[in-house]
Amino acid sequence: MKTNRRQLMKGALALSALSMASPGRAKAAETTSVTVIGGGLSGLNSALMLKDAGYDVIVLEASDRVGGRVYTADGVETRPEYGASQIGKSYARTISLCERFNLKLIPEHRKLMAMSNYVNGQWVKSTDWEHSEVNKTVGDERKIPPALLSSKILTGLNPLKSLTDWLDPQFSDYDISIYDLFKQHGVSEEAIRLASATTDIHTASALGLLQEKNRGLFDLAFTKDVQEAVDRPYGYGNGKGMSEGLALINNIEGGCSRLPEAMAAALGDSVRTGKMVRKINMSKTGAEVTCMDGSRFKSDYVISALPFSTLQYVSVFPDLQGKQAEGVFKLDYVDTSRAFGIIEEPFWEEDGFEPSFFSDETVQMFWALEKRPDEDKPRFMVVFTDAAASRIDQYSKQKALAVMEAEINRIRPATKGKLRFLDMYGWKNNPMIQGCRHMYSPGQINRFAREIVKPHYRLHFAGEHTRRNDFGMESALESGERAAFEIISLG
Amino acid sequence: MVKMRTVLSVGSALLVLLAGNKAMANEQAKLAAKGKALFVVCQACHTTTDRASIKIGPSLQGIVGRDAGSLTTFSYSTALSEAAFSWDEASLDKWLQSPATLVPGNIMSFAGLSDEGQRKAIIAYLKTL
Repeated sequence: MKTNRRQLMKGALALSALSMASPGRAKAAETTSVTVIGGGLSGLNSALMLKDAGYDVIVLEASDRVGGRVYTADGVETRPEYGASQIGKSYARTISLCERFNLKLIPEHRKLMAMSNYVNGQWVKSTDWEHSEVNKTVGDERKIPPALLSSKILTGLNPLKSLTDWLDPQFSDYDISIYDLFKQHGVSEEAIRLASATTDIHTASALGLLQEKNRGLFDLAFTKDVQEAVDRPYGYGNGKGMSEGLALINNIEGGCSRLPEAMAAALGDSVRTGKMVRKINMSKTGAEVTCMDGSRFKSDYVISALPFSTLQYVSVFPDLQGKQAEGVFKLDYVDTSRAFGIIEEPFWEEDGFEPSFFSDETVQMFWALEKRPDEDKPRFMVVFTDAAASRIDQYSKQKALAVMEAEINRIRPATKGKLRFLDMYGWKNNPMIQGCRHMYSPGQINRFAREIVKPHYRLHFAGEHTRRNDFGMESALESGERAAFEIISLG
Repeated sequence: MVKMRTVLSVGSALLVLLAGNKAMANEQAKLAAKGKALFVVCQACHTTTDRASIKIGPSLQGIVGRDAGSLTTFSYSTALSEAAFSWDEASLDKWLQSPATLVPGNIMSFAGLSDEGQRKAIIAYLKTL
């Protein structure tokens, strides 16, 4: 008997060895209750919540790194954040997870030094802008720094009150281009021209951006002790006069990547990197996800936490339908590209203009950042958003940096030899994301924003593009929470 | 015999009543367990204990029966601190359906639950805290 069993075992081993060696044989599928596709903040949050609730999960991440658009450049001297960095005081989920994983929230120290303007080929200090002849804007617009025109005018036209108002059909008239909205409200041609330097005025829905403005204001409503919020041409500025608790805007000590890393560590070997999904097949009884390397994952439910920019490359059966299909195939993604470096000498002392600048030329914004307590020299960021970012990102990194430096030197000769460029990152050039964020085109919120979050058979949707209330990192976590909740409430 | 019958019938009535109570208690416990699972949608903002936390909402320990906006350790929105009602099944149900409708101007970032069964389950769980 013993011999027989051993012989049987041998036979089985031989058979399995044979099956591994035989070409064309499918690999055995792994089975869990939920397969999460995408290891960014949203997918990780879905997976973590499901695991906490007792579900068996697996997370498939195409790249070799978790975190998606949360990406701390640990290898760069000043350790910049390529992606998300700002944590608002009311970012409940982000704050709660940081507490859970013992990550310290620190007030953001990214103080923007005063910003001069290079417009129509002439330099104007911020303090002279309102009355300068170079300023061709009209009426109250004249008081607004050019870099803030788009943002400030939009804020002034914002009819939204509650966080979900943007999805309320009563505001559907705002789902038009920023250009059309500005024209309707008599914004001057020059203000529109300058606004177009920072914002995609023709291709972005005003309503989509108004949702973000509203979420920004919500942070302020949450913060009784802030007397004054500082305007920023990109992101938000920290308030002054805070007494206790969290600052208005916080960062994670050691870099924001520590959060997705901690979440992935808590999920253990449920997180698989290097797993690019090519197919999702669903039946009445379950789902099967197939990766590029032929590996298969069976589960009861699937959560797609992929941006639609790449979910559209995945074959889904049964096929996506109607407005949801329209959303997945047509939602646009926009770019942000930033270069990072160190200011070796205070060039502004030489030319007398303020350190930071806005220009209506190749270089959209140059931010000089005050020294942090642990630094001996100020940092800088060259910031490109929307079309300006897509333009510069057509170049290789090396070429883009060379063009940028030459342009900065040309329009502002005092900078020559005083800037040390360290690195740059453009999100459009990340092939697995293809942009820093989704952006509804005019009319798309009315067309499909309400429908794209609805489950499709056994497939649920997460990712910042499926947010309802939130913005930034919090919106990714919000969406992951919603998808997990949908599955948990099925029982 | 008569006495015996009475005793028996009273006894069985009691048994039925007890069984009914037990069934109801079981039902409540099941509902609360479901509510605990659904509470994942609340837990980013709220603890269920009195332990210090940096979560942005107030603790929900003892929430049922408490006056709205009454914890001295929490800084409420003006709208909620001025509210004059207490948290019972009815007010919690309205709140969970749409916080902005029950107390306009409050700053809980929660769109609401449209499913009545989910709300009932969460309230059953809140009663256990």
